Amino acid sequence: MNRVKNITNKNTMNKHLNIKKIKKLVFIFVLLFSALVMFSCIPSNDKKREIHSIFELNDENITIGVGTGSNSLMLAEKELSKAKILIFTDESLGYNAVKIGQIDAYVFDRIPLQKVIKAGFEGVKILDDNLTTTTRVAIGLSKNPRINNIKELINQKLKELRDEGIIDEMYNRWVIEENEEMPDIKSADNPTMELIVGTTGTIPPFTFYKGDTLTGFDIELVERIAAKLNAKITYKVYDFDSIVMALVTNDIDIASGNLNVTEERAESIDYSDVIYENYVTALVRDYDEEKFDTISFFKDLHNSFSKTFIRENRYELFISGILCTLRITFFSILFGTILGFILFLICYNTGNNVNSVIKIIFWLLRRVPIVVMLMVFYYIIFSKMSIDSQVVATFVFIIIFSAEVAELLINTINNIDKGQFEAAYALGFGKEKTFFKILLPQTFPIMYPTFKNMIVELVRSTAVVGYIAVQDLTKVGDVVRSRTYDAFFPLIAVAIIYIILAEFLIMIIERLRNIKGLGKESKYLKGVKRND
Amino acid sequence: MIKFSHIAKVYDNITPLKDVNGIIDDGEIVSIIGPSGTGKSTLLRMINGLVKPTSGDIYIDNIVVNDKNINIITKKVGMVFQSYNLFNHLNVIENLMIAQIEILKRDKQLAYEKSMKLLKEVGLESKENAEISELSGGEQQRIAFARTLAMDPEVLLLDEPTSALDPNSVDMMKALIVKIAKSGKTIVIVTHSMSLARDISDKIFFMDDGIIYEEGTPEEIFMRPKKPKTRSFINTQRTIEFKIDKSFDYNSAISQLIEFCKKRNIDMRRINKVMLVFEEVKLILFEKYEEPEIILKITFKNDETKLAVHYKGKQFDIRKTDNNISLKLIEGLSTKIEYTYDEDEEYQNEAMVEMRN
Repeated sequence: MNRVKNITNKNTMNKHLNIKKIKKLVFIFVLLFSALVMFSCIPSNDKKREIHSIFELNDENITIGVGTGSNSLMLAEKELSKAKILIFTDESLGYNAVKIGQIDAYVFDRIPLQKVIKAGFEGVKILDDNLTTTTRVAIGLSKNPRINNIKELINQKLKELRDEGIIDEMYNRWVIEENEEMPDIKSADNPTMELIVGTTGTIPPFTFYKGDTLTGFDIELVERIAAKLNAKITYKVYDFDSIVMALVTNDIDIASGNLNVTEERAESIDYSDVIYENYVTALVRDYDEEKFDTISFFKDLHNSFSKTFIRENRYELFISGILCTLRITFFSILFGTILGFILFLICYNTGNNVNSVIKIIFWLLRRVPIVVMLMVFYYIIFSKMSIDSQVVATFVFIIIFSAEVAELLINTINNIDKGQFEAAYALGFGKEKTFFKILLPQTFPIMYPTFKNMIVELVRSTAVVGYIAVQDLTKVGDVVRSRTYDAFFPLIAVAIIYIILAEFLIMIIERLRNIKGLGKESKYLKGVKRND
Repeated sequence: MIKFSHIAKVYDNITPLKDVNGIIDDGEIVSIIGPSGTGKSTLLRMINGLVKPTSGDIYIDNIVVNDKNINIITKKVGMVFQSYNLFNHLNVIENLMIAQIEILKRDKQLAYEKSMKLLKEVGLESKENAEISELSGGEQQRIAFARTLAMDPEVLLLDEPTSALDPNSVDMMKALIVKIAKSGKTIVIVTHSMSLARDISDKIFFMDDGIIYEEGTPEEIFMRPKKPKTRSFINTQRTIEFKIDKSFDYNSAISQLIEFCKKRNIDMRRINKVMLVFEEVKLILFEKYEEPEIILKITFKNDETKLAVHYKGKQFDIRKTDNNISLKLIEGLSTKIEYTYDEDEEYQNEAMVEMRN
């Protein structure tokens, strides 16, 4: 009786402790969070320097930001050669960098910059003048296209659209009037060809997400072209870095989305005729508008939340991103564990030759960064096969996880006392039975904490799949950021979602472990009548 | 019958076994003794195939030990390891049952009853549900014994069965081995304990130079070794052990001690002192206990002589004796007397006497 009471006491005490602990953690978290918010919202005033003309940027003391591989980069290097140039893969991060004074200006095409201001992004302004050279925008094509005459086809249809006045009408509607309504374009009923289109989805008004659908000037344009070609469209979303590579490997047929014609890119890819020309200007900090107080801070927070999640049903985008991350993680854990187990059994059952082959694979896997490995698999190994990028990503993570599982098993078994093998042998256990009845039950409790860590690590490392056009949680965060121009809130939101996902997976694993009943009364005694 | 035929084991830089030949008959207890590094354990492990000979064959009832016959061999031969090697993830009763169920496909209930019977035999039925980590070394050893016996082996291999045990457990182990031998099992023991080899063996293999250098009865090997290396090995053993109770024959013990010392060139002055202390200790303990049970070990090292006295009964420090004359005599001959008491031990009292030379 006493004992029972003690146990209950202990349990409630544990629960109590846990709640206390959690409360403490939450408190610390909130504190850090608010500190971060405050800090990030206070613009640094250390080098106040008002800029009025784009040519003032050509100065050694100026730091400018440009998009990676964009024509703005080329132009900035040419016309603003004295300035220090920082390269951004994500425009919205560049805009925020201007706002908080990390850089003095972000050099980009005038139209998307105007959208930024229109969207209510505060504390910045656009310069009145432009760089002397303009940027030309075209559709990107492969030099060795999958569809032979694609360049002629695209140019012909572009000409038709221009002659019909549609391109000018579209430009007026999307860019000047800023009407975001996508007109209905009849898609092909019995398509005679497939057009795989790569785009970024991050540059309004040309290519962006409204809710969870792609839209924008370029999207309408390719859909109109496809309608004329009686083609079915499949979209693949990349960041600017990868889109050229995707063309080179024929992963996509055309690249569309405010794609600048640059000499450097022209070495690896082909272009259609120029669709329109853009003026390049810069976004700079607006010192008149700076104000900061707590009330507006909370208002901003509320505003950010609604912008990030509610407007245009963006939560749907987040949900699809979460599901994508979960899918990749889940299958990687499931098949990675199974495959890792099989790999281990091969090592365990065969001689040193196979062992060293597998060891070399492990060695490679541990030295090549995951991002690089993903890209190698997607753009090189599987480039000829049309395999969905999410499948490729899952495949790569299955391999990585299986190698980790196999290694963990090998290390754990190696650390088990040799005497256990010998005793099993002497009692007549064969190799397999020794493994399953003696060794494995001993390895589980030892492996479990490491296995849990590996899962958390896996969830985190899936964040790089955006590099091969997978719309996972991180990528969705990027997409939303590019619409709201708010770097802070989506990033923190994504971080929190990752924490929750990891905890959720751990919870599932704990459950499974309890169901398996490891450490409970063994099967050998089940049903045995005992003479106590 | 176990037959060794031209067994050799060659490693890169040493050759522990060169050409081992020998026969162990059914029901015999054979102890393998010899200096360290002479391949005693290696030979033992070859009997159940745990180690493979470089050349030569071992036959058990005319079945050659190899990978093909592994199942027959491991069924016939059981082994108890020096470090017990109980399965850490199972408790005591499960350790005894697992192989019966998994290998012999015995019914669970039968396996359980057999296990309980064996636990009773080794005196550990109360530990049925204990975890391995909760057991002392001696207890683990006995559980390992029971686990092996549960498989009904015809041959039992014991690797250093007493090396990690305290004196009490050693006695119990000896009794256990003799009891098992009575059931007709063949037992092969590798040991460094001369008293174990002498007390329970039918036959001794003395190994050296990679062969069975000399074999014979314990009497032949210990009292009348024929070959020079056997003789010198037996003579380097510096510890002699006596078991003392009421029926103890003091005179025969003394003559054993004298012979032991003569062979080792221990001078008479030292022996006389030892005999004196021996007698006084015995006197004190015989006065104290009505049914004295004592184990006395005398160790001669180069420059010191030690007497370790283990005795049963309630706590009693020999220094607290009423017999002042005996105590004075012991104290006069010794540099240090230590006493410890541990009620968990079978021989609860232990007195150590270090002597002057």
